[in-house]
Amino acid sequence: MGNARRRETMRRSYYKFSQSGMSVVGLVIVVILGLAAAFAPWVAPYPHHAGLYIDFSAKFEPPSLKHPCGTDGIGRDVLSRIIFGFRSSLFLGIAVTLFVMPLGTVLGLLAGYHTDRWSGTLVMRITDVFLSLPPLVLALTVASVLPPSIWNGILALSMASWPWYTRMVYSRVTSLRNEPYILRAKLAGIGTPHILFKELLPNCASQVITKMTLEMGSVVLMGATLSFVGLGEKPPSPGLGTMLADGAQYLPVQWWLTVFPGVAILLIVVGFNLLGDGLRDLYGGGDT
Amino acid sequence: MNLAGFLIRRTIYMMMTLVAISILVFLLTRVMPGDPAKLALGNTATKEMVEKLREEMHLNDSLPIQYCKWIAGVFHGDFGRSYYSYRAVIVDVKEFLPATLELVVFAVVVLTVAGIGFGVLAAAFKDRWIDQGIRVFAYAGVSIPYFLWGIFLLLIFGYFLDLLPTGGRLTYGLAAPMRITGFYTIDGALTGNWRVVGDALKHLIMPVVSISVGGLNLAARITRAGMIDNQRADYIQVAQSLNIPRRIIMAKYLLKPSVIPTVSLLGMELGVLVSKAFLVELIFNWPGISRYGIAAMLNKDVNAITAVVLIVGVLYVGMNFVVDVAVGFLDPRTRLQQK
Repeated sequence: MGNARRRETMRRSYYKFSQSGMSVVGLVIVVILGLAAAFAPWVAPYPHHAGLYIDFSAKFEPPSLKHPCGTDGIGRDVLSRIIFGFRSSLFLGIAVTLFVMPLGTVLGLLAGYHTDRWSGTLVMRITDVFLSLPPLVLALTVASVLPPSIWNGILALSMASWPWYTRMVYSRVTSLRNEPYILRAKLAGIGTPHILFKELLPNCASQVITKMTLEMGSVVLMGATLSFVGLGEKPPSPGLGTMLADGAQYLPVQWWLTVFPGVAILLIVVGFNLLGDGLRDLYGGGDT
Repeated sequence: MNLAGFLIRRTIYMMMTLVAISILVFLLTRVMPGDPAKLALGNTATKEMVEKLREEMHLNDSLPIQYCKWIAGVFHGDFGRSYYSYRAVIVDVKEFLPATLELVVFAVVVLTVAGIGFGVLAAAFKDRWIDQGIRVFAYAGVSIPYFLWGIFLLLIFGYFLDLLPTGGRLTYGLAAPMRITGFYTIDGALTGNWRVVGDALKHLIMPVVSISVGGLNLAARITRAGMIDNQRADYIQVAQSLNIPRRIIMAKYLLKPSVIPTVSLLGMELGVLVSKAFLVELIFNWPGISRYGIAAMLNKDVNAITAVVLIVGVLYVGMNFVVDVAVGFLDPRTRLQQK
């Protein structure tokens, strides 16, 4: 019985979602990017260009039929590197989100539920402090004091992203904790973990999912900024930010070295933002 | 709750946040693996030299003592010495900070004036072509990340059309005006050097547009929505029925309440402006504190990193404070909601 109702809700949600053309566009973009990233070695025209490859005879070729986005200074096909760049950017975004979302949400649940105790206040004060620095600056600082690697990049971005989830879940939980069903559960002697995860969490889920989608764009952007500046993954692995930085020195003649990676980043950000906006319209949540 | 009580409460909160930020920043940079003294001196240093520098940098003291010594120095304006340029960090900061501030101040002005202005225009001419145009521009502005705006503007106006200069604060060969505030535009105007003012403004256009365009479009969209929503309110209907001219209704009664969400949003944008300056300064080769900070981060120049991040944090908190106060002033309801 419950299954049929759930399926009906999903069908209705999808219908409502598909009413907005832009949201569907966002979904399509994200799906295409995800597939391209997952199947990069098969999608990219010259997959070996993403690694160590040198061919000076083909260097700095403008966009053509053979190389739709041109080649770079070492003769590597830009389009293939961009497709592999999607892979590293999306990996970064997903890794950070998967790490930060549970952590931030649990902290928010605890802090919101125990808002009258010192533990709740402590968590929120720490969250506020992290929120008082601009996230990009925080990520840059953390990345700068650690040796450059993709895992430290993930750590840096995580430190800048977790407070947003905590703050959002906290405000939701504080408004929910005096609802009748919570008080009834408390009176019935139901343990705190059950209340937190079985009663409160499902009511925050839609907001959290919306936030995750919207945050992906920012995380990828911050990741690209980190690599643009030189504090992230090291070459020759193709990162969109690194490609942007490398290409910037060849402006304006070899403009394709910056424009195409830039458009690639744009696609990721726009895709996730549109998808997130669609989810927000659907669930009416997202952020205060 | 009157305005004074609100202000005092906000100020105390801001002070506490500043202290907490300083602790956070300090901890972040001291967690660095490796020995800062050895990094500073390089590979040829002897053990005695490293030990001596460690003593000088108070690295052998416990963390809380190190923090106290550092914070005491900060209050005297002493951020320590840069281990890269060998100058006192405060000297570097004083040289580069005005450039970033000039960028941010102009961006704030553009954001506020153009953002609210576009919003009002779009609401006044709702659904006509001005409104449609502004909405399309708004969507593009928000979707395209700011550093892409920078790169595209640079390519189009700087290189292909050759209308605007491609980097720096002044054209090469033009001397900077006498340093009063550090803002080339103000200093130039104060010394009557109008050529410099014009040149500096030309150099400012693209960076300022790059960092303000995202927030500008968001502000325009929200102002427009606010004005359209509030137009249906009772007191507006009353004003219309009393035959008050439309222009006065819009300017006097509609503007203030509609602008409140915009001002809140501007507050968030202001803080973000400072961090956007990081990339934009790199793209446009702008000699500001962000570019200095990034160079420090790449060189692992601990004292410089700490100083820059602290200053950015202070600016961020300061701007949020200003906006909180502004919102409290504009909207008496928020004042009353304070616990």
